[in-house]
Formats: sequence, structure tokens, C-alpha cells
Amino acid sequence: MKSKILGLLLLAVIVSTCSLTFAADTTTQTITFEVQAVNDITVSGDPGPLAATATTPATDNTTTYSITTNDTNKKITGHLDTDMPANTTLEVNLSAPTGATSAGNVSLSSIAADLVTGIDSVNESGLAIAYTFSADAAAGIIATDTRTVTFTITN
Amino acid sequence: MSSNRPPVFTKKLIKRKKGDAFTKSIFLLGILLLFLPPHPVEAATLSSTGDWNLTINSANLISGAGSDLTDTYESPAVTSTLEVSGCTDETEEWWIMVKRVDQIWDSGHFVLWVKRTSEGTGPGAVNGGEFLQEVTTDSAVFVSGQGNRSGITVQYQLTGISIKTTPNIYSAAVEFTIEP
Repeated sequence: MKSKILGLLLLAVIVSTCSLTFAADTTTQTITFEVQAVNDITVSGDPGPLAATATTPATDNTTTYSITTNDTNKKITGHLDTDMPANTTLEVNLSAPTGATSAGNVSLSSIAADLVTGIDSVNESGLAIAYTFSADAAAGIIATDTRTVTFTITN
Repeated sequence: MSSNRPPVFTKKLIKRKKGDAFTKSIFLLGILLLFLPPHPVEAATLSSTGDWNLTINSANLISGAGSDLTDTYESPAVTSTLEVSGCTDETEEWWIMVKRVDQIWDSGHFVLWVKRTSEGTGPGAVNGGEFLQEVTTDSAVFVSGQGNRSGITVQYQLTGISIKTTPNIYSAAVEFTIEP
């Protein structure tokens, strides 16, 4: 019995050796691609002039923003290049893209403040921006001035 | 009373002799196989060059902020090059199989395609592979031909990218195998 097994094993080895002359030849190339983080935001334009009185704020709802991010748990912050004059306030309210949360009316200053939070992998455009400029009587008469509002997608 | 049955020790001797005969037969058959005239050795061999590296970022948005990433990416027409050599003559037939071996991959979304973009040069010929075909993890015929052939160029296409694709470095190996 043992000799039969040995004989069959020997035959198997020899047959395998013969079949090696038909072994396939393989070569390999590699496909590598990097998907980088994408965090893009743009606005449709500038709001119109905002002229307020002590009793009547000025509002502008004419502008929108567009956003694309492939990241998770991002937020939009906003800040001014220079603080507002004393006794005046500039607020902004950003509509949130799907799945995120808007902070509502937020007073802007030179320090970044959260405007929208909880943004995950989204691309949407035409999202509303609402500006509100208000002043109290102590502000007096303020000459026309400008401020630059910067919106940033961040962690 | 006499019996025609051989005694036990004789039976064992007969069995051992039969076993020896079997083993000898197998051994002789094996030796015979080794000394048979060689089969026409199909010595076609395959070599290749050229990987595909790609970076996808905000420049690949369809139309800036608010839009999605482009779904489809195409490599240059000459990304990889295949060479078949070692054929005995220009009539020796071969075929090249192709398959994907994933390294870091999202098979639920990414689809890799391949196509041949030139016939190459040489005394032989090449057929098939002119149209995009999906490269799966199962081996499939890509091109066939006869004889030696060099400079067979290959192009790739990747589909399934979107902003839902997690930022990462993805990779897969494309295996080309020549048969027989």
C-alpha cells in the first residue's frame, strides 16, 4: 500500500514538472489616485448698501452662497476685516445645506464666529444669506463705510 | 484432505510482488514522460511598463463651489505598454488576460476600465481590446494575437468618483497574464 502511494506521489511530481512548461506569465501595473479634501465656498455677490436709523435696521437678502465639501463635520465661520463702529451691529444669517445646522442671526466682528455647523459631504448652491445692519441712537451719524465679510469652511 | 488454497505466507508473498510491480510501473511511466520528445514549448512571455497616478481635488469640480466632483477620469492614451516576446514564430497564438487586485479600493463605487490604444509593432498581430472593458477581480480576456509584438499601448478609465468619496489615497494592481 505504501509503495502504491509513493508511486502515485512520484508520478504526480513528474507530471507537475512537465506541466510547468505551460505556466502563465504575469506582469503588473498599478493604478493610484488620491482624492484630496475639497472645501469650496463662493458667494453670488455683494449685498446692496445698508442704511439704518436708530429705530429701523437695514436688511439685505439678495445674495446667496454655494458650497462643496467631501469632508465630514465641517462648519462655516464668518468674520470682518475690521470691527463695526461703536453702537452699530452687522448680523448675518446663513441658510444651512442639507443635514447641517444654521446658527441663525450672528453678529459679525473681527473674530470668526460659527454660522453653520455639522456639514457633511455636500454640494449645494443658491443658499440664502441675510444681512442686517442696525444702530442705536448713540451711534450718531456714520459716514458711508465698507466691511469685508469672509466666510470660511473649517473643522 | 489437501487444499488448493496457498498458505498465508505465500499469499503475502504474492501481494508484495504485485505491489512491487505496480510501483515499478509507475516509476517507469514517470521516467518515460521525462524522456518524451519535448512538446512545442509555447515560450511567449509578457512584460509591461507604465503605472497610472492621478490626483483629484477642487480643480475637478464640475463647475466650482456648489457642484460635485467629475465622475469619470481618463488616463493618457499611452499609459501602459505591453510587449509579447519569445514566440517561436509569427503564428504562435497567445492571449492576454486582465484582472484587478485591490489594495485600497471602494469596489462599491469605483469602476476601472481598460482598452488597447495601439497595435504595437512586430511580425505578429494583435486583436481585440479596442473598446473599454471593465477590469474586475476576475480574470478576463483582454487581447489576443500571434507572434512577437511590442509597444501595445493601454489606456485606463476610472469612474465612480463623487463628493461622497472619502478623501484618501486609493490603489489597485492591474495584472496582465499571457496564456498559454
